[in-house]
Amino acid sequence: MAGKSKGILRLLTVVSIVATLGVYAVIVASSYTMATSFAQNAMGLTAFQVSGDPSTGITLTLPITVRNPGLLEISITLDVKVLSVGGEVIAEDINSKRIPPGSSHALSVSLFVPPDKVEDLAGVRIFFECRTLFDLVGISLSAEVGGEGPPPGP
Amino acid sequence: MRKIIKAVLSAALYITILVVVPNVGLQFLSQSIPAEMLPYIEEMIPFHGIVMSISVIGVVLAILSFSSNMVEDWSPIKLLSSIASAFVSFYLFLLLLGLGDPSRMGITQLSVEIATIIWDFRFFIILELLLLGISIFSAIIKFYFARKEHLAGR
Repeated sequence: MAGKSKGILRLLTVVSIVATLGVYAVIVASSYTMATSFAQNAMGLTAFQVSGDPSTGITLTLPITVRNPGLLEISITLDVKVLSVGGEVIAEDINSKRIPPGSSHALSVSLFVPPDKVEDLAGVRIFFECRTLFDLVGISLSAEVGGEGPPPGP
Repeated sequence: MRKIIKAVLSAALYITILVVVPNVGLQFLSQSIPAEMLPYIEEMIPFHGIVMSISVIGVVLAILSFSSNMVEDWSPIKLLSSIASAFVSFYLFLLLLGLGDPSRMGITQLSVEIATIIWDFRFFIILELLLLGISIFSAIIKFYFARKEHLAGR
């Protein structure tokens, strides 16, 4: 009986140690992946390119190169909305991509503002999300770049 | 004598990691950040409150560890100390993930002027709950076998 109980206790100790190490390894790996990917990629979110003419409508493009310097695959979502003075959504574009560790991909969103709405254009709302560990954990950024006119160009 | 040394050392370890290190770190942080920026940062992340909470938890864990090491394995005090330690450690994890607010349950929001950053770490809490379950189960099984052996030896 004593030998059996010792065996069970030993097994329990091993399971406990393995589970603890496993959980902390997952937490460290995914936190590192998220933090590095988010910090590197969120920097390029203001590089808007504006093309076209107010008389024919303007196109706002936000091209970014998304890098994954982390240890796990990440999923990046970029959602950009063009807002009117009244806060209504004039145009919206969403794009998302899965990026394996160590690689980079181009990701862009393009929004067309029709000529009759150009006058009404007040700002841009950006939602940028970086998720990892099969999309179970993530960091997101919501920002509103607004003002009197269109968002700043490159 | 050996038991007392073990109990004191384990308590001292908790005091060092959770009381001394965070307070020294906070002092360094206060000195390295410009004084005019401190209230602004403190508004976003309540460092003083977090360090104070960690210190209190450190003292509680040290007391629990000391009492747990001072008694025999078959003692109910050991079982209660182990279970209480597991719960307090879980609370510490929630506190750290919530940047000082455990009720956030893994979703933490940081607002900086026009931008809002949201952490979604709920899955980490599920993993930590798993570890909490394993710790409690392990403590109960250890107590059960130790108690059984103690009663058989009387």
